[in-house]
This record gives sequence, structure tokens and C-alpha cells, in this order.
Amino acid sequence: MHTKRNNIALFSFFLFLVFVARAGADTATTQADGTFDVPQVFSIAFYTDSNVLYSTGIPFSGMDSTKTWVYADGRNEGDGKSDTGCVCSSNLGVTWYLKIHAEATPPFSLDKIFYYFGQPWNRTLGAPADGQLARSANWYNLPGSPTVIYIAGNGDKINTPDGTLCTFSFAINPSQLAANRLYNCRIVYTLTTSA
Amino acid sequence: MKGTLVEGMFFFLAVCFFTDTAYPDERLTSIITVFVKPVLSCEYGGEGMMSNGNMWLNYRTQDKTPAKLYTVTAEI
Amino acid sequence: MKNRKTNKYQRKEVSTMKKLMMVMVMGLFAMAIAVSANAADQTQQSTVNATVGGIFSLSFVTDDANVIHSNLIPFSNVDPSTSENYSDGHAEGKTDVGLVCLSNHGSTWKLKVEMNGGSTLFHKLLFNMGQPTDRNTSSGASGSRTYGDDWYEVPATSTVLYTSGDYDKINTPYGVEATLTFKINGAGLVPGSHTATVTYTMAEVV
Repeated sequence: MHTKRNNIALFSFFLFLVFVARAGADTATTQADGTFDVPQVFSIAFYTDSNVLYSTGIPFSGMDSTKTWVYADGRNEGDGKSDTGCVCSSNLGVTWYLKIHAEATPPFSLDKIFYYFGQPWNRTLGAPADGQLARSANWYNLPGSPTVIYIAGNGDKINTPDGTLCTFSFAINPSQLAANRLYNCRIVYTLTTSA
Repeated sequence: MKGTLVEGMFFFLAVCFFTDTAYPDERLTSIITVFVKPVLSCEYGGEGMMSNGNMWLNYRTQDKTPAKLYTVTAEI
Repeated sequence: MKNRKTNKYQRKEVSTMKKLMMVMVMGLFAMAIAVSANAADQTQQSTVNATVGGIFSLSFVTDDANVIHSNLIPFSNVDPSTSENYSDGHAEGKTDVGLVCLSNHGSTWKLKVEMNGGSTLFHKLLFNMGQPTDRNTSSGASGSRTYGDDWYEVPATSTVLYTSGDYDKINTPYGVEATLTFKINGAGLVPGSHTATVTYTMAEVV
């Protein structure tokens, strides 16, 4: 009888621990003074405005192949604009990572396309995000596998409601590319809690 | 008739699309300008002394076309 | 009797402690699993769509100090007693004209030359052209010349000098450079002024 009661108590305690852990992960439920729930937020979404021109499609039309550096349609050197923007939102309270990689359709190759990524902007705080760029802001070839480009700072770990804005510019070297054919490259932005 | 016309238009467009046409030729020109200098030959018409004491020598161009007489004076 | 009762309770205490430890460990393990299982990766994608404008052009070299002329080539002091009359400013290691052939059409092209046959310089104007250079690699272009390393009369009809090779068909951004040097055989030329027009043609073969 005594042993059976102990076992029941121990099993109940085990269930309690599991319940607490799972509840913490799935619903981020906190109960303070009894009554409100905060849904989990962990998302990446495109952002566009007058200075962030594109999202799912980035056009480079009629590139001049006598040049070795061409920007997307409507872009010029130092124009203060970006090609794409991603808003990374999280209220998990943990470090998150932004990764990027690309897949080129031959005969286009990744050595012909470059990206520029600078310090993101914390839209909730209205200030530069406090995370760390994996590499200094500059032009780099797009990697062929997911590669960390930004590590969230403390202010990014819970950056709701407006998230952290990450903007990108792209350039292509059109030399040695044949005229009058379409070249494609898919760029993937990944928001993850795994480094 | 209408169907044939439409089919013909599509065929024409397809031929235009799939037929590879050459770019027009590109051309540049250089203008060659030449001046051929005359060459004095040893054929001369004579020599003499001028009243001021200078010598004169007459030469003809070797091909004589057109026949020209060159007078060379030398100041002594 | 007393000892046996004590032993029984001791055994029960030990058993209970073990079970409690096991439950705590399992609980911690469950929490670890739960925490690491949240926040699946989120992704977005952009597709770059790129096209290249066509280019097919012939132009003079103007950025090389060793190429001394372009659309005007003067010979202002031709000696009719010699066959070796070179253009003004000519020197060893320099050429008269440089032609840049640019193409990204992916097709064979040919470089041709001719002069106006009615000129008094016909049969008197000669040219020499070495193997063209691929300006992208600074090495010999991959095509073939019609003429070898010698002097030839500039023909009166458009004649192929060079046929592009595989690497010439898309040779952007810097193209293929062909350089020509001219000389005049002065023998039989009447003293005075003479002119000729030399035409260079870049023609695509489809």
C-alpha cells in the first residue's frame, strides 16, 4: 500500500515534469495572475517598400555583357535601396540565426552572382539590431549550402511585434553569358534556431 | 478561310521565333593617305655660275613625268 | 524481530530514493527533448531571372599606346625607291590598327578586309596580321588566320583574315583584338598624293 502510493506519486511527478517542458515549447504559455496566453512567434516574411524593391522575383533584364558588374532592374550604385528584405520575428527568447544559400540552374553558376548584407534593423526598437554579422558587410558570392550570415543579439531574441529587418542587394557578372536566353537562380533565406 | 489565316499567322510567328538570324555585318574603315616624295636623279641639265658667284645645277626627275626642271643653287 | 523490521524499512527507503532519482532524470530528459523540439526552421525564397542583351560589334582599339592609328593612317614620306615604307610614327613593336571584335551570340564570326581596287595604291599597299589576342585571357585567340606571318597585298574584294574559334563565340566583356600593320611599296608610284580606303568587316556565320 505504502509502496503503491509512492509509485503513483512518483509517476505523477514525472508526468508533471514532462507537461511543464512540453507546455513551455508548444504554447509558450505563461500564466501570471491567472489569465493571458502569448502565442509563439517564429517567422520570416518578405518586406517591401519604396526602398526595398523585390521579394519572390528579382529581375536582371537585358544585362550588358561588356560589363562585369550589373545590378537588378531599377538599381544603381549607391542608390540607398535594397533588392529584397526579410523580417525575422521571434518571441522565443533564444538565439536565432539567419542563413542564406542559392541554387543556380546551369549554365548559370554561383560564381556569377553576388550578395550584399549589412547590419539588420530592429523595427520594434527603431534601432540597428544588436546581433552579429557572420562576415563584415561586403559583396560575397552566394553559397551553395545554408550559411549563417547573422546571429541574433539579445534584442532580437524577443523582437515582436515588428521584428528584425534584414535587407539584401544582388549583382551579377554577365561576361561569358550568351545573349537572348533566360538564366535562373533560386535564393533561399532560412530562419533557424540551429547554428 | 478565317481558320487558315489564323493558322498561317501562327506558323509565320513560329518560323520567325525559331529561325536564327545573323547579326548585321559590322564595318570600319581606315583612310590611307600617302605622299610620295619626288626623287632627284643624277640626270641634270647643266650647271653654271650665277652673276653673284653662286653655282646653279639643273636636274630632271628620273621618270620625266611630268617633265620638271629643278634648279639647285648653292651659296658659296 | 526488531532488526528485521528496521531492515525492511531501510530497504523501502532505498528503493524509493532510486525511483525518485530515476524519475527526475527522466523528467529532465523529457524537458530537454521538449525544448529542443520547438521552432522549426522558417524559409523564404527569391528567384533571380536574368537575361543578357545581345552584342556584336567591331571597334578600333584606342587604349593601347602600341596601336598608333585607327580610321586615318598617314604615310607622308613615301620613298619610291624602296618597298619598305611604313606609316608615320611606326616603330618596332607598334602596329597601325587594332580591331576589337565583340560577340555574345554564340556563333562563328569572320574578320575580313578589302580596299577600293581603283586606288593607285592597289597592289602597293600590303598588310601583316599576327594571331589575334583574346583580351579576356591575354592569350592567343582560339580561331584561325587565313594568312600566315608575312606581308600580303590588301585585296580588292572582301577577304577573310580570321575565323573565330570556340572561345571567340562568346568573348565578352573584352573581346578579341586583331592588329594590322601596313607598308607601301613605293616602286612605280608617282610623286604626290595618293589615297585608299581599307574596309574591315566582322560578319556572323549562322
